[in-house]
Amino acid sequence: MSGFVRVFALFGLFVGGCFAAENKPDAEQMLQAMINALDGLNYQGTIAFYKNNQLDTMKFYHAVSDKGVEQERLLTLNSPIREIVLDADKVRCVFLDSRKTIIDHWPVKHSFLLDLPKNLNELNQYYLFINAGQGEIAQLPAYIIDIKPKDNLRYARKIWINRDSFLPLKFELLNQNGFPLEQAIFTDLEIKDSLPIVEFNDDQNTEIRHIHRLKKLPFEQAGFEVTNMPGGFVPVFYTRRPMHGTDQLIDHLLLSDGFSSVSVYVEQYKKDMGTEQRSLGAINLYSRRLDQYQLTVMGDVPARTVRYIADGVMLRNSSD
Amino acid sequence: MHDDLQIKISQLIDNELDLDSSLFLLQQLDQQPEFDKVFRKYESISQAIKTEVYLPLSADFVDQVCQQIKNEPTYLIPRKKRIKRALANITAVAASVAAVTVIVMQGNYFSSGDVQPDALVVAENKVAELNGAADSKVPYNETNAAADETAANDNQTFAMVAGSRSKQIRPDYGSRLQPLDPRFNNYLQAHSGDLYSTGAPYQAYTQVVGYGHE
Repeated sequence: MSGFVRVFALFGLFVGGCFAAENKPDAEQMLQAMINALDGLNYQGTIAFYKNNQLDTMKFYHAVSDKGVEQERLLTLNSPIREIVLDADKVRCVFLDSRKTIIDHWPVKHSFLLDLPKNLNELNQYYLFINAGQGEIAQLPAYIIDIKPKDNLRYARKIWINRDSFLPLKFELLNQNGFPLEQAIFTDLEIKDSLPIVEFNDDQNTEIRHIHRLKKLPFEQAGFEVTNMPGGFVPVFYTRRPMHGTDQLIDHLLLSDGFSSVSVYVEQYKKDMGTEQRSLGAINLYSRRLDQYQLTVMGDVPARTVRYIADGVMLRNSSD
Repeated sequence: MHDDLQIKISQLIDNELDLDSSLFLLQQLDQQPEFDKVFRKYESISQAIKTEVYLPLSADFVDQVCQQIKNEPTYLIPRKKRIKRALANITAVAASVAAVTVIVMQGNYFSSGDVQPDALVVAENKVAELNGAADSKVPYNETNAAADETAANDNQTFAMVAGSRSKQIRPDYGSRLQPLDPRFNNYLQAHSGDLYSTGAPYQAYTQVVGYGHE
């Protein structure tokens, strides 16, 4: 039995088991089926991303080996032509024209498409999963799922899930008024029996740059604590990394509720730093002085959320 | 009673009756068809006086039109023949291209400067309102401009909105793009993990939503 058939059979059993009890699958079951399909199927297609006022159209490949090793690949269709390969713990970006390669080491697994928590049950307290009907994307039938936050500290999402494969065909990140901040849509999507896991042998003529060689550290080692944490947010990783082209180490804490993520940075204060609040598409940031440090909180959450988290960041052993 | 009704018909034609009286009169006329001739007669006189032209219509003109509409056969939209697979594929591609085009047009529209749709302005204001008074109290750092200029010179620009036109924070619809402080650029890259840089401006790999729990 090939890997694909085995995975798909398991996937089918899961979906069948979920939907046998009721004729109509509920939104949570469909999302769970989508999570399994995203991880377990081999598929390729063309996808258009619209974020930060930019549109990128790319070929997308997701391969999973018999041993369960996953790899995502993106090939841009527009210049600069580049191939981006996402393995478990690193992103490799190969620029075909300039023969440059950037390898970004990343301490946690994430996806180019969308990351969802493995277990949706934990999020029931904070999000509503609503079956919003059916539609078609590129003439493929789709269930439409609304993911609505129960508070005003996070964004809503909308996902179109293919009725046959349970792969996502389209997804949107929406602001509080329902206005799309980011969108992605498959213009074609094909499930394959297998796709190759690509291995790279960098030749000597290729310039390779490694960034973010990170080690996860226990958050207890951080010199600060976060007292205002919106419900459901937990630390994903904490690290200290050099940034800004210097050897100065900056504390970086990544928080996530499974859908939304927020980064907290603490660095040495410099005199030109001040209080700032900014917004870029779905990303909001708030920066302020914290004693002899400068605190910056940013994430794909509303402005009030970064402000709320920032207000609750305190230095350990400090009475502030 | 009849004289009174005739006077009111005359007033109606001369547009001298108020709304309630007009409606009441029209109801009466509907219940008493014999006054229909009076109504048409006065209307003809009024038309002749006002325009010096009289174009008589047959009394049953309206009835004839109504009757013809009733007799009109019901047309059902003919069902198209089932499209072939190849045609379906072409249509799928066309639909996809159209969807992408809409997205692009949205982007172009919102990035076209100061012109924004009213609904968007309303939405902006609403969001700014939702951001709360606390947000609006955040003092805008006047050093932003200098920092932004530095960022631009360093060619480390990233599309970013700042409260440049207003000190109140406004959501970014891609309409007011400004370079971002390189420090925030670095933070953004470290946060997203879906940005890359070759020394030139950062670009996004992709990704629409954030991280999952491990």
